[in-house]
Amino acid sequence: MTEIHNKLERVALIAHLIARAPTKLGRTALMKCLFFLKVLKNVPMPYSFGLYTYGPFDSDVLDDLQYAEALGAVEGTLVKYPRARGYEYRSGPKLEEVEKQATEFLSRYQDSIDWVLSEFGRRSAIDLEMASTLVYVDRMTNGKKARATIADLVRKVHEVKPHLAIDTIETEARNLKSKGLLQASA
Amino acid sequence: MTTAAAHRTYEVRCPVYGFVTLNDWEWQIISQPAYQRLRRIRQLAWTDYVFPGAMHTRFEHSLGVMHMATMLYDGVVERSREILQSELGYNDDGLKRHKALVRLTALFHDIGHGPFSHAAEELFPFRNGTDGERYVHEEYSAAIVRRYFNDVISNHPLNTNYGFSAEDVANLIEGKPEAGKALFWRDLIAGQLDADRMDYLLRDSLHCGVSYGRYDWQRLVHTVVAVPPTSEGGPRIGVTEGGWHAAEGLIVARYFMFTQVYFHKTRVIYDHHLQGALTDLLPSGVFPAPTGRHLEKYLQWDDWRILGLLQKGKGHEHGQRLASRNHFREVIHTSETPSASDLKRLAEWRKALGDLLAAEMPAEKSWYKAGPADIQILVDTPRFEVEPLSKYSSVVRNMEPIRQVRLYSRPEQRAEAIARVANV
Repeated sequence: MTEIHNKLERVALIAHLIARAPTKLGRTALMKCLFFLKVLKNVPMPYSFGLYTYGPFDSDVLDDLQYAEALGAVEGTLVKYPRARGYEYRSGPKLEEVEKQATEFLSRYQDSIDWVLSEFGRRSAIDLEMASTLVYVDRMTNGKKARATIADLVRKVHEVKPHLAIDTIETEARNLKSKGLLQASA
Repeated sequence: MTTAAAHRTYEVRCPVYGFVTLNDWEWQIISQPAYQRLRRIRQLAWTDYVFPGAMHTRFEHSLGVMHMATMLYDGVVERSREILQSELGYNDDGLKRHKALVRLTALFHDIGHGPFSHAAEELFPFRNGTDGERYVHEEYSAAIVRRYFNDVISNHPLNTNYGFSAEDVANLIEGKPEAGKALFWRDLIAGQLDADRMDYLLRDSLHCGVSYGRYDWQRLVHTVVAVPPTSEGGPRIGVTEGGWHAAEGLIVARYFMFTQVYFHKTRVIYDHHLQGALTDLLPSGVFPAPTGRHLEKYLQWDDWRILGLLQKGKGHEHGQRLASRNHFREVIHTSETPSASDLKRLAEWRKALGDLLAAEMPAEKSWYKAGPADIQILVDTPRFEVEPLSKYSSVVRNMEPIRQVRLYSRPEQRAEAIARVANV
């Protein structure tokens, strides 16, 4: 598998996700969709996601997003949410020009791109943070000898994100498990 | 150890802050051989070939990061105690405990660096044999803490009330889920507003003799807060509305330091020469992995050892260029943020240069990113609101990521190389 080190391929992937998303993606949604693509669909990309209380994060994603904006492949708008402002992105005038630089890569992973947008493209930032944290903890925990259960996973995620109710985390964990996205045993 | 000895404090002179204070626990830690090794790793590799004062080390920087992280931690607690209690479940004892943990984590965050710091990281081995992702210095740091520091962390009298082990520190360095809610403080170690960056900008600027990395850090320390969770995300570190100009200053300082120092055309080519020399000097061309018995061998590599080998004439062409300060010369570079047509022209330059192209240095592969970090601003209204710094700062809003690419030839071929690209 060839990792996408080509700067325009990474930028094209970001612009392509934004163009095909069912709703306008914000920074958090984009970050988590790329994380899911890497971890759940093995789409090769050089991002190195670290865990924070706000879920898996790599500032290089935002760097590439801003490059996509500078190239005119995407455009960001500041929007108001309850008690917060953030950016939403739509396609820019140079989308096609940038996508052409990565035609082969995008077509190779189109099914995975469609899947991640269909599965997560309409979910809220806070939901995506929770789901991506569950997946991150699941993969780290089950890389070890002892296999974790869903209950173990929920407890660990609650320790990382104590501001979330434990039953909310558990509902999301069961949802992800039912879709085969977690390795933890029921 | 007597109680008096365990509670002794130590002051170390620091050119940035005046003094850095350590307790006896931290003093015992930095006295270990694996920690003293940081005195033999220069912070900015061969930067002194351009900025002669840049001879400072990871040891000095690590003490500074601990000092800065402490000031930021205290600032957050002072202004955000209610949020820390209501959203993260902290009480006074928990805050005191995690302050000690944050100090230790900051102190250890760079202990895994290889010779000449980041420049060596291209020679870290791959995690899975020959392909995929390379180990990163945080993995070396965590492995070294676990292997060599458990005794001094666990068994000091000052740890009696905390009960920390090396594992607790390593988990926070690596961002492991086992760190639990302490991960909230990871923003202070490796985040958009972290003590690492805040220290190295000031320190590197001072030692290089430039002013580009200076910003109003005192104002940041006095405006840093815990940003509460909103519909857009979980809690994180940010600044109050009154601190946004200082946050803007930090981002502008990053930009200037990147363009004027870290990605300086001559400074950056010495990273290439070092990597070339290391490929020859290291067994199998890579550093030992941070696992098993390899870790002890890794710790034997420091600047002194490399310099000794270079002095003996080893390292082939790159070693000789390092020893004689006879670097490859820049032929041409793209704009700071190349457009799609600029990238096409870059491909034409490469083709025209052919075998005269000796090295290519892309800004995006640099450790020191000048990226558009958007810091969260907590707006002081009856019902708090969280907004990105770029809403306030037109400077930050209009900054573009640096993706400059520099092309180099051998010095004796530069004139011909320039002639070739002139025809493109």
